[in-house]
Amino acid sequence: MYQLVIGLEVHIQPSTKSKMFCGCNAKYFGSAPNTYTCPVCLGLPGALPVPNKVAIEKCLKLGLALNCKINKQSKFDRKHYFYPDLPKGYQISQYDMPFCYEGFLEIDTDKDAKRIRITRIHMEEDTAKSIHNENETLIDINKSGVPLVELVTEPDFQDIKEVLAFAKRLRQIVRYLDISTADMEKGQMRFELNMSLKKAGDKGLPKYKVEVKNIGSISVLEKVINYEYERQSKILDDGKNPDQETRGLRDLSGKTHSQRKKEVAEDYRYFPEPDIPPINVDDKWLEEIKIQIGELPQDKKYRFIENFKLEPSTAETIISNKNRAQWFEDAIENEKNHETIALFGKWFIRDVLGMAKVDKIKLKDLKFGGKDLLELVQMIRNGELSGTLAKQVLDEMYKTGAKPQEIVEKRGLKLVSDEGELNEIVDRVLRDNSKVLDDINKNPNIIKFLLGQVMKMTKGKADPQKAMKLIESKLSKN
Amino acid sequence: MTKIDNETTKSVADLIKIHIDEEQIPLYSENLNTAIDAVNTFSDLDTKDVPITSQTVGTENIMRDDIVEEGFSQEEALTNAHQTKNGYFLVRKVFND
Amino acid sequence: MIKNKKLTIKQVRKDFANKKYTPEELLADTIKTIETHDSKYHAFVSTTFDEARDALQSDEKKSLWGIPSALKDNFNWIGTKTTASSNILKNYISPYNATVTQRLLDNSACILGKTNMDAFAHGSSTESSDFFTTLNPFDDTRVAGGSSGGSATAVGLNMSVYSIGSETAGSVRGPASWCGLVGFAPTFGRISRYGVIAMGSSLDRPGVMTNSVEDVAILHKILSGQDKYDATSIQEPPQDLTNELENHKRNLKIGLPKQYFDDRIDPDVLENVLESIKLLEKQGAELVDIDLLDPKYSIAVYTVVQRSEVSSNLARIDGIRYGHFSEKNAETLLDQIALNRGEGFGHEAIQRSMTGAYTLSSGYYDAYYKKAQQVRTLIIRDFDKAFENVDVIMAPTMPTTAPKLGVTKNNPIFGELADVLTEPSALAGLPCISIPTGYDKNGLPIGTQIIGKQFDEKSVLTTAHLFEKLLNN
Repeated sequence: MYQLVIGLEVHIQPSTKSKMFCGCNAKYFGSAPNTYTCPVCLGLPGALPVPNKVAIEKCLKLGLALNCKINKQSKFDRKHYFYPDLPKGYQISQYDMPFCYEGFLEIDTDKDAKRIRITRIHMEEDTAKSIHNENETLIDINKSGVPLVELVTEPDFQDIKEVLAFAKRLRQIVRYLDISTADMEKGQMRFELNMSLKKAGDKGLPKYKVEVKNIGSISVLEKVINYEYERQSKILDDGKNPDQETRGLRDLSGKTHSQRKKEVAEDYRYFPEPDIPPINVDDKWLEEIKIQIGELPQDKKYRFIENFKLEPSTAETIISNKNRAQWFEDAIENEKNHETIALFGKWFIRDVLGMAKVDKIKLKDLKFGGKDLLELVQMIRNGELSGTLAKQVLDEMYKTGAKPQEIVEKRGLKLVSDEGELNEIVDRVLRDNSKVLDDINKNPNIIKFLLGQVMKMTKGKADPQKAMKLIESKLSKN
Repeated sequence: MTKIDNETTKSVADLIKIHIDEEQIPLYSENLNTAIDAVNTFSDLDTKDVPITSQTVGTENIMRDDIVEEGFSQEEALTNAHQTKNGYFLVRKVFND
Repeated sequence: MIKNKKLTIKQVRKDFANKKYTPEELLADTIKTIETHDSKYHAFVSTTFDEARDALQSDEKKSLWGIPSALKDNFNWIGTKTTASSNILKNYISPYNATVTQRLLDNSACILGKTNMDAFAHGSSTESSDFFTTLNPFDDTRVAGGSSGGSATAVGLNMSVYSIGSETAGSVRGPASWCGLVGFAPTFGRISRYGVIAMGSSLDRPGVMTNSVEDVAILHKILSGQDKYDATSIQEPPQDLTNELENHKRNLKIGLPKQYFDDRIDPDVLENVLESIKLLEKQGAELVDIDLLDPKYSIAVYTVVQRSEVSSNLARIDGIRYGHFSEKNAETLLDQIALNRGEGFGHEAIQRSMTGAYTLSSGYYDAYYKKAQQVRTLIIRDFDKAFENVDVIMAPTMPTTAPKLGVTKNNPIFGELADVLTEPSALAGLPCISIPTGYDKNGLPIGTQIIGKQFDEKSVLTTAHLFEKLLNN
């Protein structure tokens, strides 16, 4: 059995309108090729870069949220290599003075909270898109120059669940902070995996490291880790070390393929970007950014667990996006009873989110509000409405936006819990079904059948618990 | 000072992707050595604790607002290309993977 | 030898007003001069006579209207070939305007063509042009200088009244000095670099070549000022010194660095420059002997910094989006790129890129690039110290007058060596000007340079204006 040693590199496209170093439209996804270009991102002779302030602020925001130190004096550097999708023959990135460094993110594991250390977070520009067909290469510059935030972790992951929890939480944070919509299908968040294995108990880091590039979703990330575990452990079982190399993907199966090994490590010839003056991040600017951060999802989760006594998994689902959490919290803001809140949570997740997902609509577009749902839940808790009937009410609220009280009254759905009325109905059912009473001792399902008959006769409006009690007491008398 | 040999010259040429014919390599090695010899004159200056100058203007924090500006049309972008196909830049060569 | 009529913007506008000739006549005459002489002198890479004629239709109230001019071929101008005198960009047509070009056009500039240069500005003679060498207007067996050689000869032969050039070490001052012109480059960042094909990004300064200091001030007002497309541009509005030229400093203190007046300077040049400067002393200026770091260090620093930036700035030319595409058989895309660049770049571009890549490569970065940038700090501090005691520094612009054709053969660092007296101020990004002060025994022009403190174009131009007046008397 081997232990995982994993570090992650995450590329995040911040949601800016324009590119990192020029005013071209950054929302290139789905655009016709080479329609969002200018001298700068096209790499024409004479063009000069000017950095996007909002992009930098989003990078700093992420760094602050992840407990990073901020480089007060920062700069950009040129990173040189030749590739068809790199118009200038160098990428403007950050080398030795990244905006953010030495931070951490705590994730929930089965046992406890684990701190994953973040080595650095820096800004760079994205490359163009190149399509390699059999005998040709096609290049589209639209993506060239789009801002990228690159986050690098220490090799702190030892378990695949940790990696996935981290990836999910990071994506959540990035969305919470309006840094990026992190739509992975649009390539707005990508992973690079650095993975090796070591024998449990071995000290220090393994002598090799395999890098897997261009992982475009969390599910593929999971598959890649599993694949690499198999592949690497076979080699180690044979007494050898896997090659130190970069591997790539050709499909979404998680299978990795060796890319041509380079004999010599790439010499990027970094030097400070002469076209961009240094960035001085003063305390005032950081304060302005810090204020925008607000409550982070993991903190909100703990607060919900603490204050509302929610189950961790329920809390996790509710805080999974900011709007959802806000909807929830606004609804129950005046509700003090934890059991009611718990029931509200159940209805919210199972029913409301379920309906919204099927019809692909957002919470804000629902015809009813959170407080309406709460009212419904409170009616269930008061015994005014059965769970079954409440579902019908909710359906109508969803379709028409009518208030729960109105619907209940209009349709006469109030539970029949009046003792006298119920008593009569139960008697009638027992009389109508006298034949089966003989078999009652042999077949305990008969009681359920009788209850069903009561519900049928009351068109579902009988309070099932009270009805059951009456049935049982009458039967025992006989 | 170590002389720069032809092997080094070849690897530098490869690094910057400039094809140099084999018979020209010695000339470029010589040029490289001449240039580096001239450069070595400054090694006798004491630069301990001296900061580097990569900018002379002294400005900081020059950034742009996040506003979209009109750029090239597709036609303008492709105007100097050797070959294009369906709006893409085209190179009829295989990429070495 | 074709004598320079020494036309100025002011003179031409006066001539228009007095109906001495019309703008159309002047333009036609200038075009004729180019058509007659340029096949020999090669000031131009390409001509834009139609555009120049069209420019006469623009706003005549603007200060550059009707004045024939020339633009160095590393400035992007929409619709024109912008080649930087390089084969690799032989057919490149600018899809955008440099900020300098735009500001000229906004002021009704009448540009007759793009001028020849050392390819990618790599040189001090134009012998490194991939097309042809520009001849000196005073002696057609000699070079005009570089890299803005074409711009200099154009003015020198009355093919333009003023020219736009660029300077990384001494590429405006040098040719101006060798061709008998005024050549000016302001503080780094004062004029936008956007759209100028980059050579040394931390050094490049667009500049102008004229027949008078006043013309410099007129052009400087138009071209200077912050540019949102150039993050290194000085964040100030355009500098208008046109009405300040008479306001030279009282009790002017002029520093004369002894390292710029030693035996590396040609004796004719030394004599002429010292005598000329004495004119200012007679006017009341104080000449102060100062010590500056030996310029030899600047050669080393400049070679490293400039060549490193060159190797980086040329990396974008791979033949795919623009530039030469080789017909030779390449197996893979990266091989294709190497062939495109190998065939398209000239010898100088290749060898400078190689030096630059070498000095930036891992293992050598600290010893070369980092060390060079540290010494650069020492050079800047050296000037700062000198300027505590003097207002301007004066010296010969070039150690010699224009050399004979073929001077750059077998000399891989000719450019950097020739510019020894201009490199230090270029590294510090200081404003400077070269003024024609006389001739050597062969009748070749000599130039004297004035270097000012960073941002102090005022002292440079007012001193230059006074100097020019005294020389003309």
